[in-house]
Amino acid sequence: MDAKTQKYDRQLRLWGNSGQEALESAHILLVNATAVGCEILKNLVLPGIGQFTVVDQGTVTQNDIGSNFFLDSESLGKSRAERACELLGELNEDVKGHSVAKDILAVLTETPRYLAQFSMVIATDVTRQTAEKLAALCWLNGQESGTTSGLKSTDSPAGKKETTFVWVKTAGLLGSARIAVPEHTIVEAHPENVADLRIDTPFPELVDYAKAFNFDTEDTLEFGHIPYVAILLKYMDEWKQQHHGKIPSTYAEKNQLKANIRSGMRSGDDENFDEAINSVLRSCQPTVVPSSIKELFADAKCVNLTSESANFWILTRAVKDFVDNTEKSGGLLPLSGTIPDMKAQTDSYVTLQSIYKTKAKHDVQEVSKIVEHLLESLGLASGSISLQEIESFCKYSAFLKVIRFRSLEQEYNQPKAQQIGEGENWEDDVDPLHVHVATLLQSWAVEGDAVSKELTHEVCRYGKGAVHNIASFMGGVVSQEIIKLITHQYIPLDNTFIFDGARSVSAVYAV
Amino acid sequence: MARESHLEATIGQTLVSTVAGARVLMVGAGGIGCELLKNLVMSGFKNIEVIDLDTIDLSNLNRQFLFQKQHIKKSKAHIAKASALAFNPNVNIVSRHQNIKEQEFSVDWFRGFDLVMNALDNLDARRHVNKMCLAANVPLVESGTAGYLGQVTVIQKDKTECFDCQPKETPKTFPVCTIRSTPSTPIHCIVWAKSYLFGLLFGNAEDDDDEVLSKEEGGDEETVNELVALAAESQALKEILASSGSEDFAQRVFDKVFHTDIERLKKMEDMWKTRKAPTPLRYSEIMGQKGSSSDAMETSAVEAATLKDQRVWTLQETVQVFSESLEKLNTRLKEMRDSDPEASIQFDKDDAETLDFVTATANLRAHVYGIEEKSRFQVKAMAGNIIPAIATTNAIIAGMMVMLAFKILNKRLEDCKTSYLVYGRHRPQLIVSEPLAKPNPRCYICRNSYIGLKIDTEKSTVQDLINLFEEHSLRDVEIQENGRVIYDPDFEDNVAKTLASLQLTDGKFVDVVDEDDRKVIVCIKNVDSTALGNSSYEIEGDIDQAMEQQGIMKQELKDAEAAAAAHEHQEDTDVVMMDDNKKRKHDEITEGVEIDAPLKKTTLEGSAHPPAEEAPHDEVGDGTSRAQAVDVDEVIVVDGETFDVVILD
Repeated sequence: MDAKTQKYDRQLRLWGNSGQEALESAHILLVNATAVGCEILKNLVLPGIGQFTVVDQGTVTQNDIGSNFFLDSESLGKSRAERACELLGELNEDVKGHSVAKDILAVLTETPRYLAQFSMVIATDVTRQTAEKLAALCWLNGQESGTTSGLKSTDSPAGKKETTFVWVKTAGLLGSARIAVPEHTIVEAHPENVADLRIDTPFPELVDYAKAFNFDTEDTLEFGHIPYVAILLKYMDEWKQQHHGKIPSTYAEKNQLKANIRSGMRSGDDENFDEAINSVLRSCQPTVVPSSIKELFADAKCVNLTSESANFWILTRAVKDFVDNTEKSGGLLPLSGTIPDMKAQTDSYVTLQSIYKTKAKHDVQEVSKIVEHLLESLGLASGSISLQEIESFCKYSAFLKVIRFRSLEQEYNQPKAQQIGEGENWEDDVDPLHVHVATLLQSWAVEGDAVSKELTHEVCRYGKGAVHNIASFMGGVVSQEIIKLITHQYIPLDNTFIFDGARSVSAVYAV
Repeated sequence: MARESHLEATIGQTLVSTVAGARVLMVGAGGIGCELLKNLVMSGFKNIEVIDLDTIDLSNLNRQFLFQKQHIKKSKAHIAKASALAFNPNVNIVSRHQNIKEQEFSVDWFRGFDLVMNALDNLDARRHVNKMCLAANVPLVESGTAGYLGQVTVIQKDKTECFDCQPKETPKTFPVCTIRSTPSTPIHCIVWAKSYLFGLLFGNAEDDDDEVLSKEEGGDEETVNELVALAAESQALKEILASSGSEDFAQRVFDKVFHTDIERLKKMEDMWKTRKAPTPLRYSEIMGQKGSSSDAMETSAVEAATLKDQRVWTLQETVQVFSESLEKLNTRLKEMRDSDPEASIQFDKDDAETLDFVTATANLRAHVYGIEEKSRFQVKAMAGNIIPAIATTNAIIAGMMVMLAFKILNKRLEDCKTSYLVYGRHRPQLIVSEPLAKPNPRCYICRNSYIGLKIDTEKSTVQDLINLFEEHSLRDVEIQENGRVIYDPDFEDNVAKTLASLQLTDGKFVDVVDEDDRKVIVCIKNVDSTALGNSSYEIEGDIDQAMEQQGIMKQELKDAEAAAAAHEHQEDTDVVMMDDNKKRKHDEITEGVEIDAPLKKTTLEGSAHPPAEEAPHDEVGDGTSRAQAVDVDEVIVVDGETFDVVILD
């Protein structure tokens, strides 16, 4: 085992090689080396992102040292960007760090396309104006490269990377994080259960398999090891014969099916029958294309493919075409091919496993043919979407997810929420803030004293103070979401996270 | 501005001084520990003691950021201290490269701290610290993470649930015959390789204890006969061991284990009536096919090491790895035994040669039985009970731990909550919190009274012990130590023996139960009789009051049970739906814990799924909890940095 695999062993088990590759090709920009910014980078440097850049024109102060673990007393008076880059770089020799001791706006004036090289921009301690500007530039990158977003973070053409924007704020015991990217696609959402057993609509090989079991056997060991899938298929088939081919749909009917299965038990502890009974409810949900996936099929990006289309959308289209070809697919998504564990003899379990796997493989082949056809019609190279990618896409096709975040511009100009007020000296802020809150509440016909003056006082009291512990906590939360975004695995939060450390309450809002 | 001005502005001058004066014990300097130590030194804590018995490994470096490559094999506690001091030298840190379970860390020693923080990775140590904190009445912040999941809570005697209030899943065991004769899943083969074969070849003659093998109770004649045959089999293998060092040693072991023994099993026709019979393998037959062997070696030389790690080896490759790792381990053992004849090699998932050997032998056995073979990467996870671990989760949990520490030191226990980091909920949530639970009245750990007993263990006998309990109205007692019966009214063998002769020595806990089922846990402190003056013992704590309280609690328990009985019918209907997909027989690994492992709680959130389980296996489980999502009812969010007030719909 090479040293790298060994070093990253514990995380590879979470996001696999594809996730690790995505991390290693990521370049992350941190605007301002604040405590929370450095904590975020720490948590990304450790698992091995490719590169990071710190842009900060400030110098290290006593306060920085008090709250930022990555700025030590030796750093006092030196460039924050340089020192943070140096000390964070020590965490992982495989990560390249860069620093720019300038204000981000100045950098952007010199190099307007500066942000396009980054996969992620994290802004901390910036004004709303700066945040809006950065967000807008990132958004533009995202839209321009929206076509290449998706699976191929590694094979996107240079300069056409999507750039996700994250704005993080901490104050006293409060913290918030806002994520914005036009479109984020996820294939591996890591759902809890990908098993797709098709008990309601068994394919011929499955029917034959179930029929081969002898339910009248005298051998209790054999009887106790009939896989529950075969038990379900048998009783479901009997049910359908008695009910004009329909599966149980009401609660009472499902309970009746359970009772039927229970009546077939020979002793109270036939675990395989218990497994079958426990799976009745799930098995009685008709196998259909989930509505969330139908929405993707109807999405303009799926309908109108171009040579610029991302793999994600070409694959979505291929799966749609597969589903539409009912002769091949029965109108269903490709089979996932995985089955849960169950009480069974090894050989009958392995046979069952291979029945599902073979069918899944067959579906993948059909989808591959469509993919090849689509690539050709789009003028793209044959084989430019690997079989591995198609397999994984088919396996998780019921769990595909697209998040279209609201931009900061939308948040401010078409608010779902309303924001007011800005201030400098905290004591001056208490009264205006309280007035603003009262005005807002009044406009919503809420009692004016719902928010006490003590509360506004409390919030203003924090000033812009950074407490290390909150920075560390927020650093953990934000870097975790960033990893989800970079790896395109697991579902990231949409789009704002807020934490109140005084009461340990957190919430996620789509503002 | 001064270094800590922001901290003062946020938590106030009073709490800053309290924090500075607090003595904190941190147990564990691993994944959570590194984050925690950093947070403590950055949050105004001035007196920290950190203890960890572990040394640094390469696989720690993706998250345990206080350690670097040059620290590998060094003490976690010492290096963590050194790294943290570099960033804040104004803190007093004591580091100990020791096991927290050692006797010197007595109840009195625990009492010397204002707060204990657990950053542990195993159930056993967690239980121990829980018990010590209860006995010393010191608040404990408890934590755990696994992959993207984590949790944090507070334990305070008599106020909250303790670590053992909810039953923990015990490590899974397998029937001995399943492992030794009739495996049917990959984990059976891995357990066989790791716990049986490995121990037999490289362990001590005495300690081939089959910890994961449970003897089948009673057992029919067939089972009993089989067990006898298996014992003979092990003996025969040990004889082959005597020939180690010879040219064909690997081949002899191979043929014994994968041919002779399998042939014998195969003859037991009854066993294979409903199972597929195993197919014996011969070393010479596999390695004899020279041509393809060298081919295999060429490809494996070309391909990346990673790739080889993550795919299943060919049969020849497997045998090759078997021979090589057997030779290497054998040579190592010989060298070790030159200086220590009792030396043995332990399986360690991060020790490449032991992992190679276990992977190869588990897969050869799987091959023999027609069971799916696994890659080395997979075997590592299954054999080592590996739980995924990353910096981000640890950072979040450690951050919350320090917030709880602030609240505890600020005497605001009522504001503390149990928080869980969740994933895959229907609602967009990252963290759910619930109020701290009350102690479980049935808990056998925290619902007891703890008292200290100063006594001369060399001179005092068990009879003296019985007498002194009687003086405090505890009659007809039963006395146990860690499950061992010392005395009960029907077992008087020990009455005349001294406590020391029964290993009831300094720091040992003794459970005493009286005729009314009242229980007290006595912590023994050995004191020379001359120091005790006229009396022969001295009790710390009020035993009479403790007993009275026990009586009250017994009554409360009865009341609670009566109330619970009234609700039982309703609860029954809730439980049915959730366990559905939790049964895993194939690919299940559950024999202990490793790495920043959490107390996984199954959540009863409506009828929804239990929390997502990215962890590939059920490592720990502590049963169910009442975790309820706490609604965030406040709609007004005030952002203190730009002073934006955001009102959300």
